[in-house]
Amino acid sequence: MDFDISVLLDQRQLIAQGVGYTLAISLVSILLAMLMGLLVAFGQLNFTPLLQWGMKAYVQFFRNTPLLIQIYFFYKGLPNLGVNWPPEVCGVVALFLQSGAYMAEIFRTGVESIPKEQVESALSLGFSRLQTFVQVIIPQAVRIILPPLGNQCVAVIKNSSLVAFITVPDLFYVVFNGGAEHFRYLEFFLAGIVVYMILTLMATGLFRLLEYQLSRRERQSQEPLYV
Amino acid sequence: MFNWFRIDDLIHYGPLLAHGLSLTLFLSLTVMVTSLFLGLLVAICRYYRLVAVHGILEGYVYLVRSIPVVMLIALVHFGLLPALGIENSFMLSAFVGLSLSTTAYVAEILRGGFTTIHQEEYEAATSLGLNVFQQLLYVLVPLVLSRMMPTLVNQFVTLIKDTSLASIIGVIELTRASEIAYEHTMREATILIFVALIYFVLCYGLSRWSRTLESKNAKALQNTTAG
Repeated sequence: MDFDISVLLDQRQLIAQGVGYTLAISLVSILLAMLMGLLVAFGQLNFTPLLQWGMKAYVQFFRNTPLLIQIYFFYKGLPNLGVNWPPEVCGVVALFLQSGAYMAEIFRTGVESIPKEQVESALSLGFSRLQTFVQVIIPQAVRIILPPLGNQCVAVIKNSSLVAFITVPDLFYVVFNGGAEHFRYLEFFLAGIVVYMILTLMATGLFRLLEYQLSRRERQSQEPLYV
Repeated sequence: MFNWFRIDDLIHYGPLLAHGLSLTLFLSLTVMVTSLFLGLLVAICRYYRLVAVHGILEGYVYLVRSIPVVMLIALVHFGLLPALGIENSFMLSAFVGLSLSTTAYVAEILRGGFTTIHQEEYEAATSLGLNVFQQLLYVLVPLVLSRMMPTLVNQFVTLIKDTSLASIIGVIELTRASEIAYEHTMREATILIFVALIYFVLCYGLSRWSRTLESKNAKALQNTTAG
């Protein structure tokens, strides 16, 4: 079995472009998904029953159907209804709606995991509802939310590979088609694996750093007060 | 604009979709059983810190978790199996690819399960005079499986959704069957929504079951600590 890495070097520009697409699509999807997740999580915590039910339905539907079907729906199903979006937009919309559903659950469970007593004591100390939320709940919830949020971001990076099937030339598309064209699947897939590992490693590293920073602040604030 | 929904499409392609669904179920079940078995082996090796395999397994789990599942399936189908002299075996490729990925996740889940085993439980098993295999078979593995059951069911849900990725290498499971159906009718939305509903019923039912199991586990834990 011969293994020829030079074919990759010839294609390095295309691969770099693919990485660019993967990064851009993942980043935009992650940001939009966080927004969506926040909106839905707070909607579920605060709004009227009907809205709550709608948001719950959204979360459950997107969590319990395959992403590939969702992506196909936006790309191939919507034109039936007279909506034609470019493939990049379809991919991003499907990705952020799907991972927004996951993030909503992460945010909701994070906030709900703060004991009721915390809220009650803050209110009884004269904090307003907003103050309680910003100064009591968020600082504690963030540390619970961060690890699963990091995992979800890594999942978005990995899931973004599915946009290749609606003709977006992302990393997986380049690797897949490059392998088919030159009939050198192993070389191209190896390159893809290395790049995906680097990307996911960077994402996990970033979140580790954030967690570390937050826990350091926590450690400092826990130093005893000598009055 | 409103001629996209045709109930006769569903009636006409019903048998094809049913066939796809049966393959999806077959693939999910066989992969889950295999992954449970292999994942258990991996987790046990890591629990007993078999140094020789520990590093390799850790690397394997890490590798698989940081690349997209679709990449793994494509790698197996176009790279690994042809290198072993097996060509054009779609089902086998899907089975191996999905098993590789699910085993890694199941191994992580079960490793987490083994960390919940108390020193006392381990000592109790030892003091009963059981040898290592009996300990595992009668005490540790049942404990770990029952504690991790909700998470394993969730992993099964993820697996069912991931089987949709087998469509890209040509396995005619539910997603590919739906593609064949809408390539004929050009009314993609009808069939995609219907197929999404099938996946939803399956996955939502299972995740509800997982939640019931979780609350049962929580109650059992409360009872044991109270008693």
